[in-house]
Amino acid sequence: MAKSTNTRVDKVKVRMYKGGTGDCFLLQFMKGTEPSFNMMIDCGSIKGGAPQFEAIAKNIKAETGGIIDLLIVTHEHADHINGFEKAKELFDEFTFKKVWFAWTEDDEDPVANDYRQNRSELGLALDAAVAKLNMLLTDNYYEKLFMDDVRGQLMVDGKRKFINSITSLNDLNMLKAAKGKPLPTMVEKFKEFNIIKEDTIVELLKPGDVRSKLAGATGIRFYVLAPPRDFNLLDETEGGDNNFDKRETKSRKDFAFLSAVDGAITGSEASKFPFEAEHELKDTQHEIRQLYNKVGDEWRKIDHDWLYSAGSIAMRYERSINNTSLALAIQFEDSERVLLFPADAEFGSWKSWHMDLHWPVKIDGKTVKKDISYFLANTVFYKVGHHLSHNGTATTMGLDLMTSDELTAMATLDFAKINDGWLNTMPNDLLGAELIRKCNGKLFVNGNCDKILSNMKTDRVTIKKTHERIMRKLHEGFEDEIFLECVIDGKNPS
Amino acid sequence: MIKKPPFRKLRGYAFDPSLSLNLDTAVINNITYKVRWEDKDDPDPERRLKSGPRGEYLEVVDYDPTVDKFYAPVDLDHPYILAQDGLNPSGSNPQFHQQMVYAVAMTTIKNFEAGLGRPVLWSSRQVMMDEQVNGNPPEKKATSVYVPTLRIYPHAMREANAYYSPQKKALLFGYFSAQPADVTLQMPDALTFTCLSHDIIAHETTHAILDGLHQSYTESSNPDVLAFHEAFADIVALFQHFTFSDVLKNQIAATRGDLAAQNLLGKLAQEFGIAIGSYGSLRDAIGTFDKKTKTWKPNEPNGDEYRKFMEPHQRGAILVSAIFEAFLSIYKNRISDLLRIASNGSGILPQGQLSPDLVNRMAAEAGKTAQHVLNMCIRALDYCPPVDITFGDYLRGIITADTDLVEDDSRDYRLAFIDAFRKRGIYPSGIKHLSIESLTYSIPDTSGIQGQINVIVNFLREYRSEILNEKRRSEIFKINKKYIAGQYDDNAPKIYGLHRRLLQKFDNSIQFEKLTGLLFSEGARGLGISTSHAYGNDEGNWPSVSIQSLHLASRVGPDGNQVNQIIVTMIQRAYMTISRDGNREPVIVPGKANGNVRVLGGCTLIFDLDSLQLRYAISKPLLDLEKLNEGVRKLNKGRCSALFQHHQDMRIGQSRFEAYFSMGPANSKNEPFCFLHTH
Repeated sequence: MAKSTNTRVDKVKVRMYKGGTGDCFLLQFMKGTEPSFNMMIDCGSIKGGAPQFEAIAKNIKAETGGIIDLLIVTHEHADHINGFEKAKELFDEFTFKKVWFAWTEDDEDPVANDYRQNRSELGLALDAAVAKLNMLLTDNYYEKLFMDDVRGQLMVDGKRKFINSITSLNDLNMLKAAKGKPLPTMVEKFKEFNIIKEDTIVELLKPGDVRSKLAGATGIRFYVLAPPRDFNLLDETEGGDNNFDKRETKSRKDFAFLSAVDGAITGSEASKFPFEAEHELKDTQHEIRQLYNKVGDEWRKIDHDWLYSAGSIAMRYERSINNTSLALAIQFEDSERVLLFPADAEFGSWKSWHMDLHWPVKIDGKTVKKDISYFLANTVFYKVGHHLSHNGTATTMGLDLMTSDELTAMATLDFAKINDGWLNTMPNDLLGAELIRKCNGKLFVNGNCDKILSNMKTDRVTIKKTHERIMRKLHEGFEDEIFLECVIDGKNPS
Repeated sequence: MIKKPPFRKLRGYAFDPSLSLNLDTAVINNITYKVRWEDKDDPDPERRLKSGPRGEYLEVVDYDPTVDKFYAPVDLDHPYILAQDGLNPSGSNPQFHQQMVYAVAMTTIKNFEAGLGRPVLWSSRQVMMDEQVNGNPPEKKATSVYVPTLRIYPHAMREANAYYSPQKKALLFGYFSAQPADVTLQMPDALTFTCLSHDIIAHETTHAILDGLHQSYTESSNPDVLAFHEAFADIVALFQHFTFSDVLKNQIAATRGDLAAQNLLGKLAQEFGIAIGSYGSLRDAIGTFDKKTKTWKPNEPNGDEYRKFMEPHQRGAILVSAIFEAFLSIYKNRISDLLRIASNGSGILPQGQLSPDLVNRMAAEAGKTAQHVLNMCIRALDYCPPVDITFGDYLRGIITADTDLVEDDSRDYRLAFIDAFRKRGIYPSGIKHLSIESLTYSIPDTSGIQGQINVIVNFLREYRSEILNEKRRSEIFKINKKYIAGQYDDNAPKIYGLHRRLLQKFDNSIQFEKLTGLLFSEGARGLGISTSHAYGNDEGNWPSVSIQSLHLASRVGPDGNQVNQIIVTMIQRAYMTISRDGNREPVIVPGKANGNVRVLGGCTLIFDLDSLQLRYAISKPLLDLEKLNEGVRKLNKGRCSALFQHHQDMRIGQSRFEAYFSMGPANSKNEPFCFLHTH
């Protein structure tokens, strides 16, 4: 680590990598011109390949010498962690001194274990349903089924889109459970990646936790906002607080569906049958069977339609995992300025920050308890939640409270590398326009700026021309780089 | 010789199983449905009742794909079952589930046919079939194929969902573990069967019937279309509650005759609503349950709803509440004399319970009013454009249909409708002011084409004489098809179909184009309109027009006056791409291209067989009518850009589930109702 004459960190250089839709950040805390503390947050991307991650790993190594003082692993989705697997050989040579995970990765915490056990069952059912649906695509099942229909191609396209969407949702889940066993924790996974080595210090953080006085990061305090320890909040992904109160119910397990999928895998009968066995039709030649199986009437059959229920389950599952994101506020002690990194936290997480949570803050040498509105009001850097989707940033409980004139934001969204299904939900136009306004144009995106801007400019929003110019200009400076970068000053403007 | 019974009595729930567990409602929840008697020995094999039940209209196939098992089908003709009016209502017996879906779906069909005045036909299947014409090599041609029965799968999935599949011509009902918000309302994890809910069955059956009448209403071309489908299905389910006389009397007594107060009749899908975590029914036509105060309160329209709500269910609820309010005002009007009699002229009823006689009289009025309102709603479907319907069009349809049939609106039914729509901000486009006269479609000017119209009307009279006494649904389908497409076999008399006649009689007729808003002259390609080389137009630049339906409407009004009309619906398709120029003005380029949008024009023609007139031409023009007046044929820019705008708005307004999984508004073929109903 480079030595410095300054005693306290006075700025932080935030580098966002262009890995596609997915997060990979390098934060270098500077004392003067020298970095004194290197911090990484996540490394992953949807549809990112090994060469791309290798380039990123090399760049990080060049900047840091391969010594990372602190790695934050926010949550288990592939678009946040798959880089560690894909560029494993390069990361092997790194030294990660300390790694932080959320409390949900603690295998000695009963709440966490309970939660993981639930998710294991859901995950298995999803895997089974998704595998079955993909077999239908491979067999050209729908082409055959709709062969005779006028506009049958539209039906085929519709099914294909559906199955591809559910597959890419399921591909986000990198942790896989073995039958009968709970999911591994991320700590286990990162040992497997060889990121966590013998000397690496692992810490599991809970909301309300504070860390300070980290070697090399003097003057910087880390506050843990989330994930909440309440299941119901983890499940909550839409809020009445949002501009769009979409009518979707909470994420819950549907035992009926799960047991059926489970039955389909294991062949176990008893768990899945909804009626007494006497009601089963025993006659194998009954007319009604013949009617159902009539050649030429395949278009009426419903053999696989029930598996589409996995779609809404996959979606709820994804959202609930987003809510396990380790959300952090990083603060310059002297100026009280805050960098906010909520990862992919959804509404339930944002809401939980406001629920009786207080953090000890040092103001003029005194410790004062502060709630979340204090941190939001002092936020000068915001890592936009969940790739600019409408549910990744709360409105009245979030963005509305970020009132600093100095706000800069960075969002990871790249149409060139994205989950198909996300194309329709990201960016949210209202959120994008509001962010650009609040940041006076200082919004970085890691994909093509023009494309994302034109996608945001719907009829119902207005983006100022001056802001748009500023935003384009920011991006022009990094056209030939594999990253975008900004420096957040630790001092308030005089 | 013992006469065949007119009805088959089948026991079932008036609402759903949850009301049988509640002491207050248990007594009225078990009712006996009276459905048309289908005979197991009917001479016509299509009409026989078989185990399933499978009959003329419906086939219940109880295959459960989630366990890959069939459940034994119920035989409604089993002597024990016959002797006790069907199986006892029970959640644990799948045979009762089959009986329940059959009883409710048949009841819905019956109510529909009463309003419509003709048998219900399911939407036909559109398939590509080899067709050989005049010894030419066979060619793939789009043909519509008759679908005799709607299939019902009572246990099709494990999800809080039920939907009509236009592709499968089937109703799929799901079942799921209940997740109530309040465990005193329902047992958590208890299996909830959507196929045991009268409201859900009636709702889904109505989707299927409506699809049989207007196939294009599954295409979301404006915010009202899918909302209309949803609303209409709810309206039918709601008004069906009023046919259950014990329920009706009980609720009249409970509300002391004030049906605008909270009551069971105005609620839909109670068990389902609770099972998915709401505090009450899934939908309610007159009020809402306030989650904070935990009390029910009536909805007050503020006139803003129609502009504000775009999600199909929310938007549909506006139409439902408008229709229900019209019903309530007519009902109040009809019982005002009863109230005066019962209150010595004050109109204010004394405290305490109402006399049973008064309850009976009020219930009779409520039942009659509900029947009238439902019939008005159903009849109006014949007076709607075949594509792109709006609530305003529907209001005009209601008023026009009613004006045709009922000359003297002595009880102000029509005003009640107009008033209820107005209160919610629903105004039809293109009318100058809101009155019965301006809402009624006007009789088109046909002076220049009367000769051609006479020829068509005479041909339609032939159709009428052939169809009039035909009761077999398969024959009706065949006759319709024959008169639309013609009959050119060697071994049957040659019939030039309506399609050919319309195209040839009105070819190049700008006056007919003005009436219909559709292109009937050469130059289709330049406008992006699908072309046809039928009837020797082989240069490939003539427009294709398809006739969607042909119906006879023979109705008798309350004063004994008879309406004899033939209803023809036509559709024309155009493809175009649309973009915005620098000033964000839409620029339309006709023709198929990458990312093109299909825009439909359509027209409902109503011919009066007695006066030989074209009585109405209710059109959604594909052509620009103003330009047409100048003799220029151009695509209708207003409709094209409205469609484009709607597609864009849908992208913003759709649920996250839809955004993620659906193909978007341009692909209406991918189970639209499954997406709409997913929770």
